[in-house]
Amino acid sequence: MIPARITKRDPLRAVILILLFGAAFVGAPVANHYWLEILTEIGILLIFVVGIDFLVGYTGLITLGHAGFMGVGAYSLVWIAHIQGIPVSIAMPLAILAGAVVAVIVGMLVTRVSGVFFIMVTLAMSMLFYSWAFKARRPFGGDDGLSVAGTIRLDLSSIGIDLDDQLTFCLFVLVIALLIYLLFEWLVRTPFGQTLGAIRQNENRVRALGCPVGVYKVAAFTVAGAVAALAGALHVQSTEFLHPNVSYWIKSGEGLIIVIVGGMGTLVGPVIGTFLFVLFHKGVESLTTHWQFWMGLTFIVIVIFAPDGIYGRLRTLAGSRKRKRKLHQPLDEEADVRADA
Amino acid sequence: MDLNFLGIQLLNGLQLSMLLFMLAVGLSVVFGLLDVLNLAHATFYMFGAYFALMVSRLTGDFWVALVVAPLLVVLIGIVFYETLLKRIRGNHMIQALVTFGLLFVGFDLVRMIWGNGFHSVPEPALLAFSVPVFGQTFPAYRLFIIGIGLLTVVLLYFGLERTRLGAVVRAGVDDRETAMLLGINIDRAFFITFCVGTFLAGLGGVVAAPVFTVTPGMDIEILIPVLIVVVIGGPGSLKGAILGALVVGMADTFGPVLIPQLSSFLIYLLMALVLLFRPRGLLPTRSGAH
Repeated sequence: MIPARITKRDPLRAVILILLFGAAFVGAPVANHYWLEILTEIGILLIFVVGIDFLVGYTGLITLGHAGFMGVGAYSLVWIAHIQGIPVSIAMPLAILAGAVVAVIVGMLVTRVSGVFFIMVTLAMSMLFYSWAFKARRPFGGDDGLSVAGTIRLDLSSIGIDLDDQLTFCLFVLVIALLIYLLFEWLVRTPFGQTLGAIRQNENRVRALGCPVGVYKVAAFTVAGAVAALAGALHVQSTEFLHPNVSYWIKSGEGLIIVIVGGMGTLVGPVIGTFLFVLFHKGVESLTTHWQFWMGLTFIVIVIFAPDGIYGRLRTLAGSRKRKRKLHQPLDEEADVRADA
Repeated sequence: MDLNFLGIQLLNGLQLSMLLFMLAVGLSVVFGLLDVLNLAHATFYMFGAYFALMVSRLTGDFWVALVVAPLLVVLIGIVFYETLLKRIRGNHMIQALVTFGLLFVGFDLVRMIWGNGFHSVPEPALLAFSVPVFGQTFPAYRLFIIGIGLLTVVLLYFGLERTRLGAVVRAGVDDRETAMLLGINIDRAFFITFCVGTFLAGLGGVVAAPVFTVTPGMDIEILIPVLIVVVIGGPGSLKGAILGALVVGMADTFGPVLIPQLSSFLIYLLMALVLLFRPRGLLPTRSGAH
């Protein structure tokens, strides 16, 4: 049961990736302060979101608490680098490790339930972190937040890179985002990734084949948790301000929305989703303060009328002009089966 | 520790438990019947509180609001059911996601209509006094909340255990396929259960309005503990909702008094323990392979 969507050659995917990442890398050097901020935000969100797609679209674990791990990454980095004074080059891997460790523990708990129940439990676990961060006044400033300017960015001056420069930092984030994207593209093709896809499609059958399904789920949860911690660490480096909101449920929810609107289980879909989301957000924000209303409404419409997301629609459009359509049509139904599981 | 003090805390805990119960029972039974997780249940609660604000300002009477506001919420619930929920019947994940989108829409809708600020609904003049209990005084209005909660428990118990509709609902929760094979109309039972649950969510919002501040964001504030109630109690049953609500309500009240270091984590810890040892909740109803 190897999902052919992963193995088959997909020119549309390549075109979209080259266009989007190309625009970001070409645009950054000529961008002003405002647009550099937007591009940095896109890069960080992208890292967060492809991790969610790995869980939601490939493993079938619909999480509504993934921002909790962003919080773990951000708070660990601040604690190790800003408060303990350990160099960021050591603190950053440790922050990612912290995300992985917390994800193993949380993963072992939450993967005991499945389906819609999983949504509830992940949401509650992330709110546990949020409510702790909200009250952690002593080292972290609680809900007032904590300014960490000047102590939190990686020092790469030895190789001639100054990350305090906004453009350099933006490019740094975009490169990491691209690498993480490629990491997941590779991961879903490995036997590990293929097994996760099989678990999503028919968990009982995979279990009957003697595969330790629980271990695989926790492993997937851990990878996604570590990547979210990286996104959190980059987020606090970018804003140089620590705030509990990094782990708030709205953040998790936005991540899930981007994945579904972009097209879950495709990795490239969420990339499209991220670009659109940030640009749409900035656009709507300047017109109205009721951004969440429009986002929620758009999300509902897409969930009902185009559950395969923007990328799914694009592929159908591109495919309908070519011949292969009939052959691959049944595979598109897969999204519905999965969502129902 | 002073016994009178503990007695007062017990009443406070009971009051919170009853409020949680009124919200959790609708969510839990609707979930148990058709696997529909309605995250917008918390939005209904918030609208209940805002409608109470609106009606009590218009009429100057809390008692009118107590009746009218939950009915207005049911009206919204029916519109939601007919326009959205029915359309996506059968796909549980999509249903959950749509209600999740509604959470965002509801949040901003409230901000558009009533603004960002905090509002308060005055408690009814009839209950604006305190009762001496345990050597101290306790607000009568809070006793009223406990009373409403207990009344709900009793009515729902008789509704579920003694009426035909209740039997249908219990059969549906227990084994949907078999119930449908026997010619039982699960969809109708589901609709009625959904309306009752929505009514209770609205009612919860109304009675909570004088105690808590009415503000956008009160939805998610209650949603998390309510979800934990459902997880701890086990979805689908009245008893599970009662037990879960009591556990969460008491833990949230006694936690800060007895173990202040752990107070903000206590309910999450309890949820984690339940997941570890009883992943289907303390009082699961399902016998099937779910």
